[in-house]
Amino acid sequence: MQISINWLKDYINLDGISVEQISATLTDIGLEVEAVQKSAAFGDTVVVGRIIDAVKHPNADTLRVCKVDVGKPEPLQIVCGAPNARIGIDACVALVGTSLPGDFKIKEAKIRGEESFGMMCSAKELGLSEGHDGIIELQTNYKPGTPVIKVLGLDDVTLTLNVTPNRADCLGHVGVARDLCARLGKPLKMPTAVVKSPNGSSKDIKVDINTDRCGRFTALAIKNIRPVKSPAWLKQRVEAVGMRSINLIVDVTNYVMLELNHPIHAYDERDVKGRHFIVREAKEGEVFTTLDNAERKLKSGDILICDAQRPIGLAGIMGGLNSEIKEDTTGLILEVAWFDPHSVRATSRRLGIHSEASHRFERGVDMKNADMVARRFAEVLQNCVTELNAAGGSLPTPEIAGDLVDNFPVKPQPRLIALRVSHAKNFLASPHLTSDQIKKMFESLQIKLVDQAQDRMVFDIPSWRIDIERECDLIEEIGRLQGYDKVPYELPKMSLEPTAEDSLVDFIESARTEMAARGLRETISFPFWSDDDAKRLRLPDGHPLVPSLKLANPIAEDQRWMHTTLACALIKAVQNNNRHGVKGARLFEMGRGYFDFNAKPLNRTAFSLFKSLDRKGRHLSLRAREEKNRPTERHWIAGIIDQPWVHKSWNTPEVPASFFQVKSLVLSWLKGFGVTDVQINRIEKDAVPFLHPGASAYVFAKGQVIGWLGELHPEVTLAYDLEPTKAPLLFELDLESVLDASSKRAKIQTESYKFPPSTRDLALLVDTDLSHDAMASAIAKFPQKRYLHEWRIFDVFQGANIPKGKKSVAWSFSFRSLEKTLTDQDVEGEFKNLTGYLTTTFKAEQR
Amino acid sequence: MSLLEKSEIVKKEFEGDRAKAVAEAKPEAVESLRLAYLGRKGKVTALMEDLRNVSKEDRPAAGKAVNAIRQAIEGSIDELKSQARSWELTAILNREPLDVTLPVGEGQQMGSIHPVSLMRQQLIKVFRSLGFTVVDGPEIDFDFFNFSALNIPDHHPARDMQDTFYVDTPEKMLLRTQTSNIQIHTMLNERPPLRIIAPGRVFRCDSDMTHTPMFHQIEGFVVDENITFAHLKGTVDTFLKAIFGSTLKTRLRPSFFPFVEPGAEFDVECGVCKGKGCRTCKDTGWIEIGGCGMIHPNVFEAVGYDSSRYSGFAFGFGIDRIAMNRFALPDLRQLFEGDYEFLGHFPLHSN
Repeated sequence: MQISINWLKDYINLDGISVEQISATLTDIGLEVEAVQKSAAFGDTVVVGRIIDAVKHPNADTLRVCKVDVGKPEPLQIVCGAPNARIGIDACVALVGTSLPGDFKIKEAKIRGEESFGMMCSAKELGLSEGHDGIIELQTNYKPGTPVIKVLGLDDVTLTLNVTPNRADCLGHVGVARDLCARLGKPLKMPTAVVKSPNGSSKDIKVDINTDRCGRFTALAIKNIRPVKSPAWLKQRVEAVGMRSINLIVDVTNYVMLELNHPIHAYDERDVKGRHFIVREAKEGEVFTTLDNAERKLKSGDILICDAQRPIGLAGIMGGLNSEIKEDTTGLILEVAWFDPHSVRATSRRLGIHSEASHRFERGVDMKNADMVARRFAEVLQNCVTELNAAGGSLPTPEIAGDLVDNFPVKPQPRLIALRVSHAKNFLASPHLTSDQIKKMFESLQIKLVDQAQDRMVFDIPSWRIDIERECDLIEEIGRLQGYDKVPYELPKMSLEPTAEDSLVDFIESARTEMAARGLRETISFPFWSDDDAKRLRLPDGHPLVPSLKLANPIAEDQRWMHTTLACALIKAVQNNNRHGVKGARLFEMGRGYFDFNAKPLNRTAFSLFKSLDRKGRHLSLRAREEKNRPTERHWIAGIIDQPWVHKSWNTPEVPASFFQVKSLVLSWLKGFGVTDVQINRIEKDAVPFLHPGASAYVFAKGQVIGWLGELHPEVTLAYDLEPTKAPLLFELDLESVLDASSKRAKIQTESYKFPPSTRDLALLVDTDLSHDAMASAIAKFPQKRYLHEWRIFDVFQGANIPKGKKSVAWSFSFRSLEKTLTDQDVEGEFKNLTGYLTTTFKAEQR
Repeated sequence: MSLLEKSEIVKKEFEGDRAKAVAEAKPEAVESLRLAYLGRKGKVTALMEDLRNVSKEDRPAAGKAVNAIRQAIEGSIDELKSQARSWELTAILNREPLDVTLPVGEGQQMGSIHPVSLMRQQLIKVFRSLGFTVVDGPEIDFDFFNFSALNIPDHHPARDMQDTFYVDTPEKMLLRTQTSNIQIHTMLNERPPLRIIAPGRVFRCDSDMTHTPMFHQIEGFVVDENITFAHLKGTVDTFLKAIFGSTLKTRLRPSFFPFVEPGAEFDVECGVCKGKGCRTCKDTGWIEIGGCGMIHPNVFEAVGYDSSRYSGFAFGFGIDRIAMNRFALPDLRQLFEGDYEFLGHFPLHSN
């Protein structure tokens, strides 16, 4: 909302109060000033100067040496190059010391040997327009020396107010002035609305309201009117607050709206057939052409203003093309009405029309002032015509109907709201407040005290303050008028009893720090997918990770779906980094995957490993977990490791990132939370389709899948412009499942070994598809195990000297006792048995 | 040659070999010296074996002499061994000094935490110290929690304050536009007294230089009997000082959020110019941080709290902008571009 300070001064005396003070006061009472804009880009050192002499420059053909009267005893000598600089005209003179737009400073100068004390400016030089047709020639005869900003009406300052949606009353200058008066303790000068020459009548106009969505409809007939140019002051005011000046009729309409915050619509009286207004709801599918020449398809519930034959206006939003003010309009009928805010808003939102009128109607205009607004229009119009005629115009006297037609079916009840003074004092921690002070505050806002008994004060809320509905709203008025700075600082005195916190909250933060400590950088991305991302990730129809939640109004077409996994965002991040020449990024992200398992329940049979995916998360209150139709949000932590793991350097060749580095990273991170009983199992074909089928795995803990890891599928690398031979590695873990696993920790081994171990190594030839875990768990089950304590694989070899289909695996076994140092005999005996056990179990050959 | 003569030769040879080993000054030389004389095929061992061939009568004298030599050599070698330890240390110490400025590979690199996360962790720390409990909640929610229970009915112009993403579901769900939905979730699930903060992601259908469709907020609220506007002021002032520094001024100015009344925006004095006015604060001397107010009785009534018994305040603000301010970041969108090098500038811990 733009407010002109000059305009504001019509309603409040602001003498001696600076723009800065006005602006600070408005911000202080809740009408935040977002910007302060002076009308002119120059100050009062650009003055009217009359050229009293102009001769050709002795040394330059195109220059003139002028003598200019700027209201001082001596005229100034100014050298000017403009062809129109001639005796008798009034020019805009920038005196020495003036700063003009573009940081151009006027100094005393010698131009081709002739002294020059100032500059006569063109419109462009003053920042007024782009054209450069010589210097400005001022029309009117102002006294030389008068600041040009005054002459051109540019001595105004415009404030941009952030008017919050509750303060509909402050979408007009009077409303803002009223609040300012209340704070500054000044009287409000209301605009007058007396029509001096009542002649003619509106009696022949008929208004029928056939919907309860129109609360009032006032019509006023005005004849003998011409859509001429507005007087300068009106044009300036309308333009100062950012509107275009069109013609006298439209400008007065806007002027009164910007003054009293009540939209007005003027119809050409010839277009109101039968001089009959019918306000009704539109029929479903009815088509209407608004004055911006757009065909609007309406729905039932939209409000239409019709004449005897057809619709002529879309109520509260925009007039019709068929009844607008035209060049030859000579008579008009004014509409000042009240329409239901919700209907206006619903219609304007649906049709995408946001007009000055709809903006006000949907916030709520004053139902009671419609008649006054119509008369105010008439008065301003009449005054303008008088003024134009006094300045030499020859307009006919407008014939303004002395009466108006006012259909006001249901007068609103007075709104009486009670205030408990003690409550207000306590709530605002302002014990000094008295009921007298409170009464004065409300009176200054024109809110009447209608009853007072002991602690209780009852106020009659004026019709323009639709935001005041309850006692707390009255308390806010007291708070903002006395100033929030008057309230002391206190801390609440409360019971120490804490509200229980879900352990997930803290876990998420530790998870983040632990992951970063393992060398990954945290990134955050937007959780949106395009239509193609699921395909690029090779997710087949019916896969649980296929996105199921679609945005109705995405910000861009390629951000339509809520993602289910963070994988895609991380792949895109690596893609972007590669584009910028950054290789070897190690990134992780924590965020949610979003699923709608209400519409499409999780297919547990086909995707048994995803069976925990449809649990409602711990971020929800217990109550919300029970709600029907709530989507599922899973908390993921996911990471991507781009190639290479280590760049070539002075002490190392390039090390490629491998599945096992990522596995180590994941296991180490899990171990940080005490999750040590973890299995990494080969993924069955295409269960996580964006991973390489031969280099990917599930992470199992406590019998359930808690995540997956592996190399990116080569087709997916291609889909995201990555090099398949340098595929990055990914992992993704369900944080809640990890937390669950970590809270069920295994018993900690408490004995400490005090005697040294003995070790024996064994190399075996086994089938290539025998996995490490299969061997390790067989070793764990070695029936004659007595001293065998630890075992680890230290070599896996295929190739020369190894038969096809076989591999050589070498194990190191450590034997240890809690009671004694083992003898060679102790160890040899058990190792022999173990060797026999393993060779039989795996049909292995000892190497 | 008699054994005694042989012994004398061995003794002389040892002196020579010993001198060589000392000159070499290596532990290995001492060990080979030991083997050469005391080892299984060593010269002293050979002398000892020769003793068997000496006649009975000569044996005591010869044995004495050989033993003496053996002891002398053993002693000498022991001495050399301990000397060898110090030769070893000297060798270690005399290694070529390292070029300690050589770069280290990224094998052991440290990762980093996103600036927004760092900021959130710091905020959580501050609020926990004030006795607040951290609560999480859904990012996709029903209209009720995000709007209507917060006193923002359908078709209320206040909905224009936030451009909402709607989800294509039968029951009109949305991406929450504010963390305030947690007020409703918590109050429906718990009884006062409450001191809650709820950090989280929020979404608005808006994208330009200064807006991203997703950003981070933190919501806080306190509900109990006799909570006043002064408590709101005191709490806001306390946490702002804890975050921005205790020397900066704070202020509340009237504003409007449908779920609070009275409502306010809270500002902190500009840290760059200390309130004098500069480019950072657009010459106002203040940095806008967030919104707050006394919880509207309509909100209490929507969750079934007795609004005549309980009062409370709520506040909320964006984390991203504070993080940008804290780390002096020029471009909001940079936060969400996943630029590996940019992200590498941040530490692991906030303080």
